[in-house]
Amino acid sequence: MSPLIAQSLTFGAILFCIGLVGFLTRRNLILMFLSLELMLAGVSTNFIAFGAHYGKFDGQVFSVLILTVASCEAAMALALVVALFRHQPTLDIWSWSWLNELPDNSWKKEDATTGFEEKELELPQLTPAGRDPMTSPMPGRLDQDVTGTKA
Amino acid sequence: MLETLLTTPMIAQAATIAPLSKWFFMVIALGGLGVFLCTQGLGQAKGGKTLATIGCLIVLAALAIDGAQQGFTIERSILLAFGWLAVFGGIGFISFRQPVHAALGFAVSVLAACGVYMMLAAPFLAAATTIIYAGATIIIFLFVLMFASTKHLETYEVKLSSPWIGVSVATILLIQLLSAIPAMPLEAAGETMPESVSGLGTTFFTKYLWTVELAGTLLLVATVGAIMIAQRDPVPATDTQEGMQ
Repeated sequence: MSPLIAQSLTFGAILFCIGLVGFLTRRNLILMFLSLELMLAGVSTNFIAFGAHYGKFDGQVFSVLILTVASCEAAMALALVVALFRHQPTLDIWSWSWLNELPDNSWKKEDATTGFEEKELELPQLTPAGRDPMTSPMPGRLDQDVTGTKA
Repeated sequence: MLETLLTTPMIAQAATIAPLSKWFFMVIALGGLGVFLCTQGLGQAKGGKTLATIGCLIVLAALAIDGAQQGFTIERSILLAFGWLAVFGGIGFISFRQPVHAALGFAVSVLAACGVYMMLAAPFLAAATTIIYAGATIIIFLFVLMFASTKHLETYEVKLSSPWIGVSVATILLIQLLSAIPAMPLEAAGETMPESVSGLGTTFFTKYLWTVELAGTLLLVATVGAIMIAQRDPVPATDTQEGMQ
């Protein structure tokens, strides 16, 4: 293997691994997609290097195919980013870790004090029975009243 | 686990090959640099810049030692220059915190990879990759400018998801790949590559005709799919939210 081919393979491997690091560590959706493109560029370098080693065009044909698939992937990924951005206006990949329906955030928006209206406490009330002591005369006076003819 | 990794036949066989020690040195230096850049960020810490510069100098010294031992030719020198430009662009891509700067690093990396393609006698691919990736990168720039806030740095740009795990996985993979390269059982080299675009076109439209058709269909399907996905919902999102509440 000529040193030219070996170095190209090395650069392909390094590009692939850099793309892998970017894909595993980055949290921006668009930059993760760019890391995928970098990995594809590394693979493409490998194909071209092997094609140059054997002196045939087949490696370049595969590389053109990789280019086609990469451009398709770019179109789809950007369409997905647009569609996702409409739901949540952020590029954070972690905001999509829960793939359920719309989250019920109503408990977050209003804290415990708003929405609580002060009402009069409704205490249990007994049925009034007997005389009302405040309005009815005292028992002693009752006698006086009854026997009001004394006065 | 490290012992099993080191006693793997591939590593053990490759460790006896003389040029590998330099590669291991460079890989470890690159890995450490990458770990540091990922965890700290190139523009975040003040000491980070000096440490990153020291790491780059170590890698460049290893490169110089490697070249001095094997002897420079013009071809190899140009390939090395393009390759290391690609590598440093990639490191900038994973380490810059501003998404626009990261996209610039990506552009540098891919354009330098196009130079590598040119040195490998693939001028058509170099041109096609330049056009497609340059266009794609401009579109990405527009998207980044549309979506990302340029006023302040978002939290998700600074706090990465498990940088140590990602960097160590990639470093182990890189060591395996680089140790496999010198021990690769390749057949004897064919004739030298004719650097002609017409040869590539002949190969396309004779041997790989169906592949070309399939690629064209794939592009059409992807276009339709992208238009379908990016379409607005028939029901606006606010209405559904109100309905749920």
